[in-house]
Amino acid sequence: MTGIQLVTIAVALLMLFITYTALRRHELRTYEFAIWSLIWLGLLFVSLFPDLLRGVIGPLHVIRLLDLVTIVGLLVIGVLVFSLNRVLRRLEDRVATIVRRLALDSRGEPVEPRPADREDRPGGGTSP
Amino acid sequence: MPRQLDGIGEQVVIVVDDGSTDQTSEVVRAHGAQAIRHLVNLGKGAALTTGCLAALDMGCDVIAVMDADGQHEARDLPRFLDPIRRQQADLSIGVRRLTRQMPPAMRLGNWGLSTAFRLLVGMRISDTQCGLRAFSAAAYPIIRWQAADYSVETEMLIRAARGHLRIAQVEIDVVYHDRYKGTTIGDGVKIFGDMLRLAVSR
Repeated sequence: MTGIQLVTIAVALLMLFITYTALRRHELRTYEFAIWSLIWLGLLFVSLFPDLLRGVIGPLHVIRLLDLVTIVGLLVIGVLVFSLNRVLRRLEDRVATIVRRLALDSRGEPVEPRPADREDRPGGGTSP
Repeated sequence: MPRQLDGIGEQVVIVVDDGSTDQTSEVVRAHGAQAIRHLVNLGKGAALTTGCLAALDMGCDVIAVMDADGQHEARDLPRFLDPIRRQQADLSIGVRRLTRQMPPAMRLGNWGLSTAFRLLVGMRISDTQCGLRAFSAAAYPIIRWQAADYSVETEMLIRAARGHLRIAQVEIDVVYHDRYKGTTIGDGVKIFGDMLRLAVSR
């Protein structure tokens, strides 16, 4: 077993534990837990039995097993970033709608206390 | 901001407090203007949207938007609104005079963005980023922007160009009260990126 295999196995096991802990703390929904667990189990499987993947290297025209793992990893990251971007955009739009509705509905009412932990968003000042 | 500007009929002053932590809303209300307060900071474009919706809700015919840091002179407003009131333009935009007061980096940035705008959109606008703008209520649905940040000025212009709106460019004086704290070089790059995206998207 090579060094990189040991590192990958350790990371996969650690992430499985963290994912399980997140489920116990209700920080993940069941289907999210299932998806992430599948990803970590897949990583564990590939790390433990890399030779099983050698069969698919040829038809995919990939020279080394590590290249295949890297390419698949990049693809997974790309999909995740795109999904997160969509979710964030939707959340931003919803927050803006709610904040605007509250602001317009409370015109003329006494000013409410400000949240202490406000985070500035870009474009909060004046024009350049 | 004076309660009544010369030559303007009924006038409403709305200040959008975009989640500030100081006493902005209280001060605004104490001076008799309307304060609309975002509970959290949403960004300049989002604040302008809120202010415009409030103005339209109050039945305003013409909306003028200006930065609230005292950079723009309220006395310029009657002259600035004139092209719209005379129905010679649908959108009036401020053109800041290039004086030594304007920080060199900002001058360079504005020149670069105006040049990029001319090349990408095909319209010669002397100052694409000036925050002083005015438009008729009828023009608002055409220029209505989605940007929540500094890209709002660019998006407004591109939508106006595509909507074949008449744009008036009015020279204005700008006051820089203290060391400039607004946009950064990063914001300028982002504005350029957004300009590129908006120019190629249909």
